[in-house]
Amino acid sequence: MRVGMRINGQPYEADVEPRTLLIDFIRDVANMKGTHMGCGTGDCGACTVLMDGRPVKSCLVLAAQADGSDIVTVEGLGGDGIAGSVKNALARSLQCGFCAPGMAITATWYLENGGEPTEEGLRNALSGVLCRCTGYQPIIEAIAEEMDHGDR
Amino acid sequence: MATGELREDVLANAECGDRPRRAAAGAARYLMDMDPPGILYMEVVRSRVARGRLIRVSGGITSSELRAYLDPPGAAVRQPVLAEGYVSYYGQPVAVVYAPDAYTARDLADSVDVEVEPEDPVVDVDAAIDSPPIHPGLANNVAGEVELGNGVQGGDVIVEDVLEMERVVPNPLEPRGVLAWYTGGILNVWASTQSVYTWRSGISRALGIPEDSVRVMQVDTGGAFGSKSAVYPEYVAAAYISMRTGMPVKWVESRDEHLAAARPGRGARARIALHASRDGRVRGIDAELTVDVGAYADALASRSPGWIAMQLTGPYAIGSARVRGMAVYTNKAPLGPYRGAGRPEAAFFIERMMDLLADRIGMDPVDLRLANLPSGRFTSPLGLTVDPSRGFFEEGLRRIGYRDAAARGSRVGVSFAILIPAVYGGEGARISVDRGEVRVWLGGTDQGQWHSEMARGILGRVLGVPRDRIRLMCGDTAELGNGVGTWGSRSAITAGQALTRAAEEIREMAARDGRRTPEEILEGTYSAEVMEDVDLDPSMISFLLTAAEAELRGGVEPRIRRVIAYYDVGEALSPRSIRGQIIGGLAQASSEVLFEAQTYDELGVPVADRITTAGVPHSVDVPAFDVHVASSGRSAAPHGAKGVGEAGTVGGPPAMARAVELVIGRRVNALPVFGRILV
Repeated sequence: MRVGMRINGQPYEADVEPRTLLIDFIRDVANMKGTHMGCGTGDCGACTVLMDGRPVKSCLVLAAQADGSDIVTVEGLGGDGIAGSVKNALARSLQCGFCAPGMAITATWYLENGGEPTEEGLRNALSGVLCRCTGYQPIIEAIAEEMDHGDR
Repeated sequence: MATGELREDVLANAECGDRPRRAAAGAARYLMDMDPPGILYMEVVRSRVARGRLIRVSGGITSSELRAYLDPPGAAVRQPVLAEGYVSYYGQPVAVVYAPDAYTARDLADSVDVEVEPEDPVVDVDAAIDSPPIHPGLANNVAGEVELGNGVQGGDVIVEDVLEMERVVPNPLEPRGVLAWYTGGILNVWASTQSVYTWRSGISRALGIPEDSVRVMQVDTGGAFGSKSAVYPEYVAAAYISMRTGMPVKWVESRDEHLAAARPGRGARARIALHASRDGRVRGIDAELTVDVGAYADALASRSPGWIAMQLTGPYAIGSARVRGMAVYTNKAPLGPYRGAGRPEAAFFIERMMDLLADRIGMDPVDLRLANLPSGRFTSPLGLTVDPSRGFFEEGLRRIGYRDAAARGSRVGVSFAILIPAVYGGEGARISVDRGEVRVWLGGTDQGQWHSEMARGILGRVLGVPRDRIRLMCGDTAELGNGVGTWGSRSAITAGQALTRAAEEIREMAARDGRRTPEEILEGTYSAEVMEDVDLDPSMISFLLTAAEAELRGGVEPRIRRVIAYYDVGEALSPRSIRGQIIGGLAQASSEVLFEAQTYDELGVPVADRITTAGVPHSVDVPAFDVHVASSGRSAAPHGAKGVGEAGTVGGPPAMARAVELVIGRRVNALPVFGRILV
């Protein structure tokens, strides 16, 4: 079936099987490998992308369901503003980096939509993204610090 | 280097440092991201019963074509790459298929029928000891036995208990994976790995091809925790298909494959009697250890009871001991190392007994521990030599405010522990200075430990070169021919020592050319490669002081609220990455104590089939961590460092278990608490 969508502002269209997952469309059709498959069951959040402005786990969405939508992946986050602060925070707090797409998309979305960069707020906001390496605290502290600097 | 047909972009991922920055921009390159032209995707057909006779397999490549083994000839039991005649654990590879796209490969795998005549699996470790052997040709299910010690000389007080740690699946966020490409007579293997050298030797041995025809290259590796050290059947199968087809062959496991067929750790039990005098001095330890090694055991697994036994006295001066240990086969996935690999088991066993003894004689558990520390270097009857540590622990107790908290009535769980680094084999390192850039290869690869920070710290000290000129390259057997790997809290000591030596060689070479300042050194072209032997010295053993507080959420559910760590790292090479290692390990410890485990039903089927049901914790599940990076003095390594990678999973569980015990009012002798103590 024919499926098309905008990914990070660029249009992509392809003939895909009905069962094709959104994550596979992003990774294989658009050839953007920054979005990761960590579990395939919607638990780990490494595949999180924005679909029409809302975070979704792209391993649980069919490409056909995303037909005509606007997708933002980790590659599409800017280097300035909140996204830039989040990426700077992740660059100094992550370890293996595999959860980075989920952390970056989720934290940026939370903060851009009025979420407070507090310990409790960030901890709750990131509760759908698993990180096995860091114990979360360094990520949360780094984002809060970067946001604090950004305000001044 | 036979790379003629390889597209450049496949080989371009040569830098493995600074991965978080690249990943945050979506620009890291993990194994699953590599799709060279002509790629074939491999899928694995697995056993869906824990034990049975293999009657018929309707398709795919089976053991009738690929007759290969992970274990060397002469081993009592050799694990076949693909099941041969019978299956012995749920998830065991039976056949492999491949196709030019991943969906078709999955369909192919689903189309293969595996006919098995089921047999009663041996699941329980007690039953296994008396059951007929799970493998033909064996006398029983004992995979290894050990007896250590000089016999127990008792005191007036004896406390006894049975302690257990359930199996835990490592669950790095990036699953296991391999890309194999046989071209020009060379088997190129791209690996998500802790060691390119174990892969080179393991794959070449299994396939019967010379080591120098195998090149293994690490790519960005998304965590490992022990699960990416050994060579697995799937790697050999992917290499075989590439040799057969001449095409690149990729396999990346799904999470449910990881949960069923990657090697879990722990799975250990101890029956312990401590003999003590009434003043709290432990006179002897009498223990029986049992380790459930699953269906196949490599040397690490079959010797694990002896490794746990050796360190069972912890930091203490316990003068008499008798420990018997047994590694036992069952119809479960083969055991592997999980962050700590024997060290957490030993620490949990002895520390939980120290608390039990303190409770029995009515003594403060911390005072009891302090009273049992040696006053000089002490060699235990089990063969462990430790340095005196009372000064370190007393200073730590002051720094974390233990006495004040205890005086206020806070219910704090405390543990004292040791961390023995696995320095055996030493490590290799290579430094290349060229065109103003310093490139570093280490035998132990980075999966998130920030080895690049360690390298910058060491090169900064020895050569004075600026940080931004130093790049940590991915492990590659063609770039650095000799090395060992990253595990066992070894890198700061072994890779650090090798890198220090290599940097000193560069400094001497440059000096002979009259180049002495960092700017002058960077103008030259130099290369140094070393393979350093490292002997374990007692000064390399770290001391770990952990304190934990728990609470009952909603009045019923025990949660670990706060953990304070005062950990000995010797000379701190990169404090930020050390702190990261400690917190990460403590987070894993917190879930291991409360709810993380892989269990098996009575048919030997693993119960957890999702990463969350296996117990990997969310952000809202983990406690707050307060980390003190401390030192009890420099180690004997030339740069003074000690190990740190496993500190949290070793030191954390006993203190957290005590904290939980204090709030639930029930003895905690088995982990995880949910499922074993509470339901």
